[in-house]
Amino acid sequence: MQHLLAEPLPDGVYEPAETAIIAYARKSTRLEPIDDVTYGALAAHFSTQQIIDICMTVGLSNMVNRFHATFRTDVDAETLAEVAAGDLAAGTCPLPRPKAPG
Amino acid sequence: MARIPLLDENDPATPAEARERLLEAKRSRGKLINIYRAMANRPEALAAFTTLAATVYRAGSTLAPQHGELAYLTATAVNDCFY
Repeated sequence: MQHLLAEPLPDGVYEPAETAIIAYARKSTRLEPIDDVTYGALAAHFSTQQIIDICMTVGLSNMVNRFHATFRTDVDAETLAEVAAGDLAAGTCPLPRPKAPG
Repeated sequence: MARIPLLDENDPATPAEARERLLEAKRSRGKLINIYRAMANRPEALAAFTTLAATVYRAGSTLAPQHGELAYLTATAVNDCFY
């Protein structure tokens, strides 16, 4: 997870197709224009149907993040236990939760 | 503390439709997490969310799992997820 925001991405960690997803997901989440280079990198590796799934999965993640920020959903005990046991894949958000506003 | 109730699938007081949608989400994702219990306050929205997630991101996705996860987790990392 910690590499996903690195600029540039570390060498030898991601395949070209994966780099294309990361670059796109960053721009889409930040509402930055999806320029031809970014889209072209996706199109070089994925079908139209797959790019739609990538686009809507990024959107889904953004919706979930907004849902949590809106309703301050408590992390459930089961997930906390799994993360505490070192299973970072179980943790839906292994990033440190920011201080609550106010 | 969540701002809305987290409906429990095992609570007899949970309305039938909400419980049904919760169990559907559990089947689709493999386990129940609190976002579903919160969304269960609006069962139709939970059903639509579960269908969308299953279609583009989980079992029904055209993507390899690692590609789906990269799309999902990169967005979460950029948003410094609040969960």
